[in-house]
Amino acid sequence: MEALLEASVRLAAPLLIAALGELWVERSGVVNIGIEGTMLSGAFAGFAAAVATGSPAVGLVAAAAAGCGVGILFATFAVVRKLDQIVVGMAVNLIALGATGLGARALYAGNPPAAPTLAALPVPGLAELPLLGPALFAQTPFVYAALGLAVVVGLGLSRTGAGLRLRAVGESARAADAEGIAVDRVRFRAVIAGSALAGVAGAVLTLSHSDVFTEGMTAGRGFIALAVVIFGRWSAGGVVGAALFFGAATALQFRLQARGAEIPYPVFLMFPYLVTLTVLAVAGGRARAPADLGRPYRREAPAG
Amino acid sequence: MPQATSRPAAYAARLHGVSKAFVPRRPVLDGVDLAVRAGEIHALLGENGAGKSTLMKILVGLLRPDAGSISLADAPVDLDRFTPAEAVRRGIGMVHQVSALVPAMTVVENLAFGDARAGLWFHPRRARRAAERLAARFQLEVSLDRRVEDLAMGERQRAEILRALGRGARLLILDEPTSVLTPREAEALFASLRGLRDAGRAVIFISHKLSEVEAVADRVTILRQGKATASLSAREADARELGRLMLGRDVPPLERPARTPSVAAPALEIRGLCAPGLSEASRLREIDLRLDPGEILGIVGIDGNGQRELEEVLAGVRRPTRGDVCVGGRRIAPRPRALRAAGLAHLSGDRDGAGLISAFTLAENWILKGSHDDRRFFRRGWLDRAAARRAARAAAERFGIVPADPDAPIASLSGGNAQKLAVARELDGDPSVLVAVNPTRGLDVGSARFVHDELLARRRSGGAVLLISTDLDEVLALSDRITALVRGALAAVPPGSDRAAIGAILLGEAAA
Repeated sequence: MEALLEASVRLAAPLLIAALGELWVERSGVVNIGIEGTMLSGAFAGFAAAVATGSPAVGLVAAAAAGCGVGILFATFAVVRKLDQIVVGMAVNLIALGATGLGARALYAGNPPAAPTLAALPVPGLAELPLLGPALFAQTPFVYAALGLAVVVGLGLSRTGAGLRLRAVGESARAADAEGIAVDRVRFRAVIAGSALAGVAGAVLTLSHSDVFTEGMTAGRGFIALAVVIFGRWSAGGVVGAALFFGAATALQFRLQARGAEIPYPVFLMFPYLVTLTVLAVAGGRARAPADLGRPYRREAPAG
Repeated sequence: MPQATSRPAAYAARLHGVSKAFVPRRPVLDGVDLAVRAGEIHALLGENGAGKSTLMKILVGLLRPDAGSISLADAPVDLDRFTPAEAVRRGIGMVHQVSALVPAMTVVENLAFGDARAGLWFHPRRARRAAERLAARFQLEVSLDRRVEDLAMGERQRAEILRALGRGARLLILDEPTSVLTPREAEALFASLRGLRDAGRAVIFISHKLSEVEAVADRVTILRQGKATASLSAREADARELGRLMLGRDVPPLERPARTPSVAAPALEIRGLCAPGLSEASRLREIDLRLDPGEILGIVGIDGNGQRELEEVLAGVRRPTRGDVCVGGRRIAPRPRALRAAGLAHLSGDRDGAGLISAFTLAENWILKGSHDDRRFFRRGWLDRAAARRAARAAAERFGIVPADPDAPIASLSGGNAQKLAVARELDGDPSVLVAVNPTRGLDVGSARFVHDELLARRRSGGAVLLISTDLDEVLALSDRITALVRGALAAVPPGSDRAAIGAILLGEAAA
């Protein structure tokens, strides 16, 4: 049980980081489905930088920088040029898939070395607590950062002027514009911040969960982060719950896979996704998205 | 509150020679002058398309004029750097026609989010105290802790005025503020505006309702086809003269000849109709009504009392839980095609949502209603585009729709012209019953007059019209009989009731 809880939290961490970033982005009215490719870019950049320097910390910075770069790409087309956000997001995903695959082959010729990883950092004393000790206090810095980030994002949205303006932009860009808030600037910055977090979330996969980079290794986690935002009803607390739920489903999947030898393993791989879909269908119905989500803002067309 | 020591400005805003064209050589504004004094309610009167909204968008920094100059509080404005934020900083507050508050946020949050003085942190309690002080200072009553989407229209408007004042607005611009208000709410608004004027604030009041301009304005500027045709003291002109200045022609009063009672079967009869509502107040409760051929039955009511539900039942898109709908004496299943086949036409109150498809052309909209079965335009599933375009062009010419171009998208038409097309389409095929919902909402005087004339023409030729409207004047002018829809039930309106009596019924205050 302890091991299952520990694995749940550990597996939830990258989802949580990515989903909190996406939450910030979506509350500003932008859907960034490019988050999948952004995570993948972060995973690769983090891995490559950590391998090159021998320092996972440098890898982390590189992952965030790569996330920013992909975010600038997305925001330039989706926010500044106001192209369809879904189309731009898909393009970002496919470009990232190709670029990271190409980079991995060019650098490592199919034989990548192992990256230095971030070690677990148990909190003395608390880590020995029964049941929750290992899950909450014997984790890597990523997990602590993810949980801290949830508090920062939650308070940022509800208690800061910037959060209030961000929410106004996401709910009614027109109203925000009329109040003198620069809608596109708010959204551009939100996308950059969210993408940096997605990059870091990707680095968790290569600098903590494993020590290698493989092509397409995010395997839909970015899309799950999108689902986590919806399932979490666009609130920081909800996103924490949803990410932990999905982490638990994944942990359980590994456990079941280890036991049920006769069942083909893809069935287990589908398990967390099926659970998420089911929960979204049942519980997501009443969730309310920001009213201007996914709608590029243009000042009204001229009228009488 | 510290007082400014300098002499108060004589003019809150002066615009000189302002021109704007979105298409070369077709100016929307053509050398417009406008002078608004401090401590004045200044009405800006004009038909739809006259350029009122464009002029105001320039004044709030949303659009840059091609030519002309602006000064605010007697100081010139650098138009190259005039953004919405700058306009707010210079004391301009806009109260939009479609509310520009964030519906999902509380009033307090709405007051706070655009506040330039807000620091890093948002303190809900401090923001609430500031909102309270503001509301008390200007005597505007608003439920501060409720979400804007839960407020009635009048209250939303007060919240928006409050927000503008909180930003230090010296000049408030109200864009057709009464179009969404009940008569009583409008009265309250006028009282608030007079209070603001007496406190030295200036108000620009955009309207096309002559009676309101007479009621509240000190001065009037009239726009027609992008030009300011007159600017005069409101006391100098009466409604009829203002109408002439606005339209460039005289508008004769409506004539509604007496009706000879019909002996035929009722055109529309509704018995014991119940239907679920969008809210508890708008659930339909035991609706009974009878509409004879050659009759206009007016149903007045305040938005949210079941009008939309009744409209939707009669359009066939809301399933009643109980009751019958009979057209021409026959019970009809309340589904869209069955109702239409029985001769019931529906002029939607949601013109852009459920009535017309704005991205479709005139021709496409014209044939949309009959797209299942109209042999004139469809043969074995194939669309006869030439026939559709011919029919749409003929209708556009007959009804004076500009442009009479079957390939023009509806979005390129003014509201008045779009509504003309909707009216023409519904009357095509000579329906025995026309359900018209807020048929002139948002229309200018000329287009509204066109719609009213068409409804009266239907009546003359023996058609029946069910007029569901929140515009009391419209219902009074057109209807043979009036009934009120209050909290989802019909309430009798005695013949000869005046505005005040009907207003009391609508508010559920009628003496039992």
